[in-house]
Amino acid sequence: MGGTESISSGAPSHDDLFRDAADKYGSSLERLASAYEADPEKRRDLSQDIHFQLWRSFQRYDSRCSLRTWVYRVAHHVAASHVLRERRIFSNLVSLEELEMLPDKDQGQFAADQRRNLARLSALIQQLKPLDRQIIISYLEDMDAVSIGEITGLSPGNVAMKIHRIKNILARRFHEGGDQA
Amino acid sequence: MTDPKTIWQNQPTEPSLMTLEKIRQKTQELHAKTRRALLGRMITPMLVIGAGIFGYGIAQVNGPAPRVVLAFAIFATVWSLAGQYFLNRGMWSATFAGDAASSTGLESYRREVERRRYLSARFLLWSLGPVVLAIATFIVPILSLGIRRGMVLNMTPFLTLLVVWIASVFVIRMRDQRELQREIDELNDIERANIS
Repeated sequence: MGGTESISSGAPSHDDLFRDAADKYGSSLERLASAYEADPEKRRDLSQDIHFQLWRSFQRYDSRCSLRTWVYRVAHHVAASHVLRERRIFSNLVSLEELEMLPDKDQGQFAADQRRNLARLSALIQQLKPLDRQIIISYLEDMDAVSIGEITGLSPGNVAMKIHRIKNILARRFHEGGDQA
Repeated sequence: MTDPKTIWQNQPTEPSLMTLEKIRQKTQELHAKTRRALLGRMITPMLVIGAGIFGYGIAQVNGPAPRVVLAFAIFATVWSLAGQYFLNRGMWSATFAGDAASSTGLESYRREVERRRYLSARFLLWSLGPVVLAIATFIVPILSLGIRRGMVLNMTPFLTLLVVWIASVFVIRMRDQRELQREIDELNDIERANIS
């Protein structure tokens, strides 16, 4: 993840900024949407909404923070609003579309484990409150504590403590679960 | 391979198809959606007006004090229209994406939770309030008619359902407000921990 650079003062248009951000962080934003929304249809809508709000936000981009920080702040804001707006009752159920998307069994044990691990990780993230979700997603995207602090607004000490907890939870769940899988 | 970071970063993702063309299209869709939402919100005042006219009609023919019923119906209508104005104003005050980017995740999330709490409280005052008053403007004349004709027992199931509905809406909204307040309290704690 090499995204801590600021846009230089060559005054690119907000269309250019959006294209640049979508190129660099498109996949990360898709992963972020998947951490906030389990339903594929709603996830697609959320992802579109994130891109749309990102494009709008660049009208006010002033290079005071890095492009990456800006992108993640907008994306987390849109996604957290989505979580507050949605009422989750059936989050443990899968839709027909999701069921259809599951690959065949003969793709092998490794693929099945990967899928299961990802599902467990996503389920774990989706249990968290929006602010903690911001931290774990940023951690999984390989950001350092300073970058996470810039995005979330938490102090470095607070971020470090939360990351320590995240590492413990992930180690416990994935090493124990990994042996069983 | 059970390294969570590897699992996370290697997950299959659909490439985003949000081109600039599609974004402009979405802007137009959003304007249309906003117009539809505004029209949809006029349903509540319409129902209030309908209930008022109905109640006044019954009161004029059979019920007590038609002028009092009319006054209450007009008051409920004005209250409901004013309520729509204030609720809409609160809804459109959502944080603009550019502002969200200038503030941290903690700040923008806090603003959003506070806005939701404000809207939830205003819903009881500006939406449920006039609806309950409008219902009263037609229930009271019907009830007085029922008493005179000895048909109150027949109306009991409907009245019970009405009371249960109003109580449920109230309880659900109050629970929402408590949950949002708890979230705000937790954010306050995080902010305090951030400073210390």
